[in-house]
Amino acid sequence: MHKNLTARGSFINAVQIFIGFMVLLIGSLVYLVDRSPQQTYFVHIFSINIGLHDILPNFFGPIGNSLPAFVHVFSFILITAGLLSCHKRGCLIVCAGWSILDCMFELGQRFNSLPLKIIPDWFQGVPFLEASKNYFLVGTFDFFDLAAIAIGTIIAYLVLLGTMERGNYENQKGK
Amino acid sequence: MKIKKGNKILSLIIYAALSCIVILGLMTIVGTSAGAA
Repeated sequence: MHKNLTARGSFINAVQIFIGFMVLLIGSLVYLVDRSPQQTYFVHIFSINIGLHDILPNFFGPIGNSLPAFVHVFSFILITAGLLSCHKRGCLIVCAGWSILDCMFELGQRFNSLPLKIIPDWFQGVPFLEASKNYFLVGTFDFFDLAAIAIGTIIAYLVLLGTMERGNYENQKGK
Repeated sequence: MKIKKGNKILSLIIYAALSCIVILGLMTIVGTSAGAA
């Protein structure tokens, strides 16, 4: 049998994946409710205006500035670890991986000369890839975002430990 | 043997989903940048 099987005999940890997607959904509301469509690429590219900026009042307040940084690292750690049904060491690797990636992108906004040099010209015109230049050029570096990434990583790890399905399926079946 | 083959297919599906998640993760980072390119 597969070594990553959970206690229920499943290949994935559905609870972790579910929590990850739910939090990601809540996080995306920041861009739909609190920010104007012109401020966000993925809202702007839709020909239909999906933004709720003009309809609903500012919902998240000052937390909305760093909430996306927290939500992104938290959700993707949970989804990735859930797909791999990780144990403790695996969870640590997943946490470190997403945390480093998010920190690098955040720092890339502060020291943007290198990422702007690396991004090839053919990215222009390719959906989403075309936004990468603007991300480093227009995006603002914030220490609170780095703090939000650190907090998101720690909380995600604690949630992973809490939702981890301990035990070996084969052993439980044999009992 | 059948179980092993099934496991292999499931593993492939999971790794494909994992790749999609990593791509989605990168897309959601740059996709939140300010304004259109």
